[in-house]
Amino acid sequence: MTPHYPDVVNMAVPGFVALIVIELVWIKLKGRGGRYELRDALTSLLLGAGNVAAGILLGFVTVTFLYTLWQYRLFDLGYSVWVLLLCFVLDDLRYYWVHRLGHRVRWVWASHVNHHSSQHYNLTTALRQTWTGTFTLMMLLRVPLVLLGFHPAMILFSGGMNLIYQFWIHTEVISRMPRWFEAVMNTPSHHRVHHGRNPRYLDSNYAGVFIVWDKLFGTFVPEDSAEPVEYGLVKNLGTFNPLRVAFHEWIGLFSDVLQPGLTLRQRLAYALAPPGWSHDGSRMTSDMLKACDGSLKAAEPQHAGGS
Amino acid sequence: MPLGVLLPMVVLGIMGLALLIRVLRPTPPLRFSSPEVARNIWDRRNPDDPACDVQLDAAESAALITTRTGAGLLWSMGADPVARRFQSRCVCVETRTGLVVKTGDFTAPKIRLVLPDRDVRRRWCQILEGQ
Repeated sequence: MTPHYPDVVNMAVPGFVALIVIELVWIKLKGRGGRYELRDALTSLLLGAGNVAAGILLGFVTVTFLYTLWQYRLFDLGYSVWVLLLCFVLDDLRYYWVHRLGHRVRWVWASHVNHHSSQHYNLTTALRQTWTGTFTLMMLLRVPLVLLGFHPAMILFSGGMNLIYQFWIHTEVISRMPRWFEAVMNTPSHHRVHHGRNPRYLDSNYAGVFIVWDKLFGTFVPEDSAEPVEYGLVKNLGTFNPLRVAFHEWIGLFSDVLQPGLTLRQRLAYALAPPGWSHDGSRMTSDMLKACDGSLKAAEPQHAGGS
Repeated sequence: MPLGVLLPMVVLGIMGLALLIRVLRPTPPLRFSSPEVARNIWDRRNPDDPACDVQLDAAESAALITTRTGAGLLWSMGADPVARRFQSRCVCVETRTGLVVKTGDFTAPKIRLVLPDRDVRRRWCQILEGQ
């Protein structure tokens, strides 16, 4: 018999609100530890509410897909605590790759970009979630877990716990956790780097819960106190309208794909290449921005020496 | 979770937090205290096209930036700056206190500028619409 797994993300909503209140009051009293701006926070909260609504409206797609696939499982691992723990760890590995694709494939970035669209980094930023995740088809990365015999309800529960873990790391109130914790777990410091628009911080620290995945796959970048993180997008948005925030990259993507005079390969690249790719080289990808930044920094000592 | 519980929880949560942020006002809106401040922000965001000339609006919440390749705007979005060089032609609409710039950019559709002086307003308009 399938055990009942609670809807943990929705159950956590009062906890999210309480922690935001605590962070807000802390920042006001101490005068440090982050920034809050009404319209920015409201946009984040409305995007969070929209994510809940999207889950209610479209959640059945993923659920139906996973339960259909469950009929073709190779094993049945059961429901023990050890299986649940293993499922949580493997689902976190799945999250790492979904998140990495979310930054490296424009089709997935179009959904994920709104999470990075705030120039603030506080607990409301954690709630700035996608409305269009279903359309990215990233549910496909859950296929191996189902076929291996992890029950869909357990996989979805693990995903929910993963999301809840990630809430508290969206803060500037906490500087660093104990060294052993920083070595293994994703922390506010590691995730601040992930939200940075500084070229050296782009495309790094994709982890959900365990930062070890980034260390393993070569995407880990530590926070450098000499280079404070600037939050937001390379090209920041000039609107707080949640509809524009939620859909702007999709609109940009489709207007690029459908522009006249392109080859099929170029149209596909506008959808599937890294964000910033363009057929005429008029835009910059994160790799190009990093290379440019590296050249500028390499040139700086020469300038200093020559002056 | 039943919708009858989830919905009021989300709505009340958002309203309560918005009210608290409004009361506490932890972060003041961004103002460009001098053209140099605006220039530094622009240059950091556009290292390939640095500012040649910077003019602030009367509220110090926006700056008209002239570069070697054209003109752009830097303006405050709450507590943060946004910079744009507009690729499509802008349309300026005069108001009693300044200009509303309609940009044709989906990610920054409308910018309000405080320019009480009519001559200054027209000059900004000419530069922005001439892009």
